[in-house]
Amino acid sequence: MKLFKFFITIIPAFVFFSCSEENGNIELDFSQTDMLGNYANNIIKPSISNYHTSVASLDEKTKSFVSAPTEETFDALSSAFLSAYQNWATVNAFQYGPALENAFLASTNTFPTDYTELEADIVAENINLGSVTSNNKKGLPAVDYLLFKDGKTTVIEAFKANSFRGEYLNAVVADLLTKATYVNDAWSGDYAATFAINEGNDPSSSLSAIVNEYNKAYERCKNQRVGYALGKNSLSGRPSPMSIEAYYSVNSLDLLKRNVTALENIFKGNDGVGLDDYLTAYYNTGSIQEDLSAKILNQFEVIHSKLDNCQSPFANHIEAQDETVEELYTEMSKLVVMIKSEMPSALSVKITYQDSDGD
Amino acid sequence: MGYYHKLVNNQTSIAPLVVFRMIFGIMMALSAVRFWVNGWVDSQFVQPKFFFHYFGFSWVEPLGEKGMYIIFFIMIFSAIGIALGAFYRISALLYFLTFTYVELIDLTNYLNHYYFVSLMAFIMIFLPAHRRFSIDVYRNPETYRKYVSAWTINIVRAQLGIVYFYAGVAKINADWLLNAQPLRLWLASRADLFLVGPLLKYKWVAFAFSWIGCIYDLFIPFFLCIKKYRGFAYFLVVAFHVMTAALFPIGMFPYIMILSTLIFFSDQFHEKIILFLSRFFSSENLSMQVNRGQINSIPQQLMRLSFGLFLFVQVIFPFRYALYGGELFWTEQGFRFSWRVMLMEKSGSATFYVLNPETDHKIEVNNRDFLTPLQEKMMATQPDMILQYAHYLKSVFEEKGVKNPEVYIDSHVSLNGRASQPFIDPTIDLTKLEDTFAPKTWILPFKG
Repeated sequence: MKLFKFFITIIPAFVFFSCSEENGNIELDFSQTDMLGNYANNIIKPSISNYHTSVASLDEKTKSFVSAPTEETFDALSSAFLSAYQNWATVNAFQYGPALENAFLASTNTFPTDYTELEADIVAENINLGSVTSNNKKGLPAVDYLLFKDGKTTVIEAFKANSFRGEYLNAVVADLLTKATYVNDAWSGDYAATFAINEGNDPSSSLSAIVNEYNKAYERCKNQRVGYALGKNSLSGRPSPMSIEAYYSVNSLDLLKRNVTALENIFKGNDGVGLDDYLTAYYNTGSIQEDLSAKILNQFEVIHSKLDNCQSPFANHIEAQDETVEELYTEMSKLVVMIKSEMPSALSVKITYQDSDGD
Repeated sequence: MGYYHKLVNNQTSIAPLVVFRMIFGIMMALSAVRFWVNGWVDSQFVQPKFFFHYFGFSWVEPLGEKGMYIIFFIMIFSAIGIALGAFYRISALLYFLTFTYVELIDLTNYLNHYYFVSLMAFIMIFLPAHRRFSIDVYRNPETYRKYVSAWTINIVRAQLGIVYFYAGVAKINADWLLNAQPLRLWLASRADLFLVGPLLKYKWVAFAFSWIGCIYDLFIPFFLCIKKYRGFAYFLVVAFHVMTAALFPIGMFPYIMILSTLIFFSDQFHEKIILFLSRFFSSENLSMQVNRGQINSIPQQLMRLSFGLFLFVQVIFPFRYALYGGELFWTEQGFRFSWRVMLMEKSGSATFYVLNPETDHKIEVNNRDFLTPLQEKMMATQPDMILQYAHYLKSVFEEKGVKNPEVYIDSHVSLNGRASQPFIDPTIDLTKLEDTFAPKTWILPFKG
């Protein structure tokens, strides 16, 4: 019973200790509630709403262009398209919850577009955008192809010559709008609040969703927007510049920069509490030994500087295979270690996307 | 000799063994059902294209979708067979074989508590746990026993004791005791937890948990053995495991341990459980007693000797790491099968490059093309898995037409809150290396 007495005395001692040293002994001075609230209400919800608005405008401009293909309607459509694609960069990393439910990412931005199949469908007057296999015949990349595959006048002529081309474009944009509306409705409804209160670090927590999807979005930036085109993963090593995002409208570099900036802002939580503050809180207590937050932000600066050395059209620059793009790729790869290994380890979040037991 | 006799040959009530049999069977059946329901049969044995092998078990392969579900079906039914004491020896053998087979398929899934289950299932095959309150006795009353040799119960206690004690020994290291790592990282992130959550943000809590955890593991088996302290010790067992269940994603293990440690209780305690249960399942004639079998027959002696050896190996095996140089947590040479549970927060990233010597072109490998996310995560921090994967990549790219591909790695690992450090020598062609028990010189030294 001595042991029992020992614990009887030690437990109240601990409790007393915890009350008396309210400030001096805090391991982690951080509120997940504040951070998740910031992400849900100040970042994700408004970004998705912006994207939705721009797609609604794209839909409108598409309809006027298709009903009257002129240079004027084309220009209006062209700028609506660009704005929608730019806004997509800001929602790219939020593929959870409602976005996951309706395959937001795969149906919106699977590139490169399979233009042979797409043209075949137009010839056959066949619109089938519902199946999984149709992902590379629709979304923003399909619009990019349909509007910019040739010079402006040629494209306008093509739409005039074949009305089904317009029908196909209408259907693609309508599909984009359906998806955007679904996700936007959810976030402006209950989902933002649900997301903000889902604390903790297990695989179903909001933190886990943010960190995991952040990593996926970053790797997409590195691989799909740079690496694959550079031939990094191919057997031959030959570049395939046509495989980059927005190849036809020649917005690849601008969109890449916007994606990187969006990811940096997500890390910072814009002006509010974000992952950077979470990591700093851990660093301040000494439970991680290096200022990881500063290291990550610094690496973003390095990547920005490398991006500034790249030239548009990015496809041509990639094809030239000079040192600049190689350096960009190398610096982008360095960030992977920090956000995929060090950050999750510090925050005790699993990068597995799947639930499993540990021991 | 008297003490030995008491622990080994003494004739003692079979009750603790019978209760343990039912607990083990039920828990194992539930574990397997849970595994199935969670979709893990599919994600861990059907989806992966490549499986990491245990040393010496490279011949173990999964059986495809249908086959794996059949295996789990057998596993669940044999576990129920153990619980009911139905065709007990066959059930126990089948359970041991199916469970161990499943664990041997992919090194990715290694968990200390799966190892524990395999060992326990192996022991169960040889114990007369079905000789009372069982379907087997109902079918053939002749097999009924009221008493068994003490070793058949003490072997289970010893196995449980080894798990605890060595888990405690493993915690005696600087990171755990002096830096409270990795608990500082793990606990601080659980401030969302009911009731205890707000406490977890204090530094001293992580230290208290570390020290209490270490002392608990080292001493709990001994306190469970002493009658005077047993009640309180068991209260601690329940408190400790409920706490770990709430804090960490460790599945069924805490509940298995809470129920298994009941075997430390007295014969009378277990008699009461059986008496209580027989109100619902009256299958036996309690007054009947048949005494058969000789405790000193040659097979009996052989079995006792073998189990002595079995325990002895377990006692020395965890210390094999001392034969290797370097930091154990970093190289993981001699890390497994040693009850080193929840000791490290280790994460890494590994990028592989396949070099085509003919063109001098370096292909960057996208791990996601070949591994599941779980496999990639486990591989990135474990040298033997890195090597297996490198050999697999070699064969994949040979099939794609690259002659004599060379495989290099760029890898970084961070351990217990430290900044990440280079892990494997990036200048070495991994295809030229073989996995052996020799020290792995291609692991870069740990900088601390």
